[in-house]
Amino acid sequence: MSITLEELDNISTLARIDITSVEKPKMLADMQAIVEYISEINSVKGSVDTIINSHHNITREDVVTHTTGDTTEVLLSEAPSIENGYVKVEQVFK
Amino acid sequence: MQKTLKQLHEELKSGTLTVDDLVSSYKKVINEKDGEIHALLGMYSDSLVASQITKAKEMFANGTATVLTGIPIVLKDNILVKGEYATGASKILENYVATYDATVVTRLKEAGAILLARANMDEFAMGGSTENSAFGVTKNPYDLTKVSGGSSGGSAAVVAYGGVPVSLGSDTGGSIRQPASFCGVVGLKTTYGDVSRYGLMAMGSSLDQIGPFGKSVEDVEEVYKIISGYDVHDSTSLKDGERGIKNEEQIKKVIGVPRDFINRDGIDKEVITNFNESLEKLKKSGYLIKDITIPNLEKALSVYYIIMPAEVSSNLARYDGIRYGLSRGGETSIRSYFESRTAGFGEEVRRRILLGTYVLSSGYYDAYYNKANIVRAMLTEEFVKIFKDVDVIATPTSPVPAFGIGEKTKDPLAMYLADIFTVPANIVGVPAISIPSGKTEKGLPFGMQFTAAHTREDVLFTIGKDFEKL
Repeated sequence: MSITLEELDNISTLARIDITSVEKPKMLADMQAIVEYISEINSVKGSVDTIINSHHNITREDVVTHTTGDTTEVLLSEAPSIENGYVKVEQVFK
Repeated sequence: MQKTLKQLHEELKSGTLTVDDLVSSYKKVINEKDGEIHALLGMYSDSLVASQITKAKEMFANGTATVLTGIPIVLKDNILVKGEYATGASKILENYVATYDATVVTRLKEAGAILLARANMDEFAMGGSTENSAFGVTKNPYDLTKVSGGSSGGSAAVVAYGGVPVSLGSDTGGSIRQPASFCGVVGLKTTYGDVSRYGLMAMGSSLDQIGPFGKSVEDVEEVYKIISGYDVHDSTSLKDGERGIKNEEQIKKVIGVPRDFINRDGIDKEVITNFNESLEKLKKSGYLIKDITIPNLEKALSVYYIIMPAEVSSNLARYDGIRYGLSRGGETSIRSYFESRTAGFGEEVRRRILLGTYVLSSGYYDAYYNKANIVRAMLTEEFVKIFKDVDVIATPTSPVPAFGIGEKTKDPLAMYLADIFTVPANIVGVPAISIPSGKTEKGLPFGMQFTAAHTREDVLFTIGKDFEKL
């Protein structure tokens, strides 16, 4: 199995990362070499069901542990753009 | 020979050494040497250092001092300290100030340690040489033309040149042990779940562990005792009843060596010679060396380079340029994700995100991610079985000594292959340590890696201390 240029374009869209046409040939060649290496695993036999079943969720009690607003200011101070206590983003559609 | 933590502690306690003098003397070394080596990305604020010095003095005065009280320590820059910069050596977090303390930081502060500086690393801990840092490479203190290793290269180098007695790094596939080996210091990767990951920037969440660097096994053990422990903030943290479980038997003094795995293409001749000499010394001091075979060890690197990028691609989805970090406005909000992430992430980080997206994508998920998890489970069983017969597994830490700066940057797969001996411990979740084992003809350090059974750090410390004396 090896990765194609079309697949690279597709996954870069999914990953929200642009690859310029200058970068593309090297990125594709590097990824092909890596994918070729890890493909040794394709032939492994077995089922993941038993592994999935051996895992369990770790949860805590669903109780409120914070006072509303006690971390709002410090967290918002890291946001690139805020207005009236809200994080401001670009328009979703244009 | 540099003083051990216990020796420094005794001097601080008796008053022959003051905390102020100790901190100043290490700062002086950093000022003299870091310009050349570049192990550090910055010092913590004067107010943080001053408040910890005050606290340390109080602890000595009221008799509550720990072995780390008054001891300067450096943290890898992916560990959060409230109110201080934490960049992950990435442009995307260049101006990020942490909003809370990591659990290890809380523990260090309570112990009275002096948090001194932030260590350089590969961007988001992805790499084996610190060449992927957005802020420049960390040079090897033994040879400035060589890399310090990575990803915790800064944490290893600063201890090696004497800028602090101990430091913290993180290890996802060898990122503590390999730079420890390259810089001639001791580095410990703990059992998965032993040290809390709360406040560590997530890379591969099922693999990541924070761990210490030091000049001796004893120093590393002292830091380990303070940073390990159950933490409610980390859902994978081991509960008290699950830690340090010792099956009553004494150490058998048996060391397993996976010969077929070690004797491979690409391993340096001097590394093999040094490894065999080390085994010979252990044999003479009463250890039994036993050849072992672990069938799925050969596939460990592939498993790692599937599971790790898969987790990376999920974990790094959080960097969206909206809530924190670098932000580049785009035409629409989805375009601003692209702009911010493309501008903020370096090449290796982008490559791993893309690789992770690929192995998790519809159509390839079964062939890669699922298969990797099957092998991971088989390998885990194989390790459990092997540790019924041996105390530790020994391998060289790295197949090569520190390589040249720029030597492997053009070929990512070649860089990945250097992780061959360190990734198994992360996949299986067991503890492993790298201990200096001599130097090459040209004076570059070698590292010996011991891997022990789940939660058996005590075995690593016992055998490690024996090994240091040889």
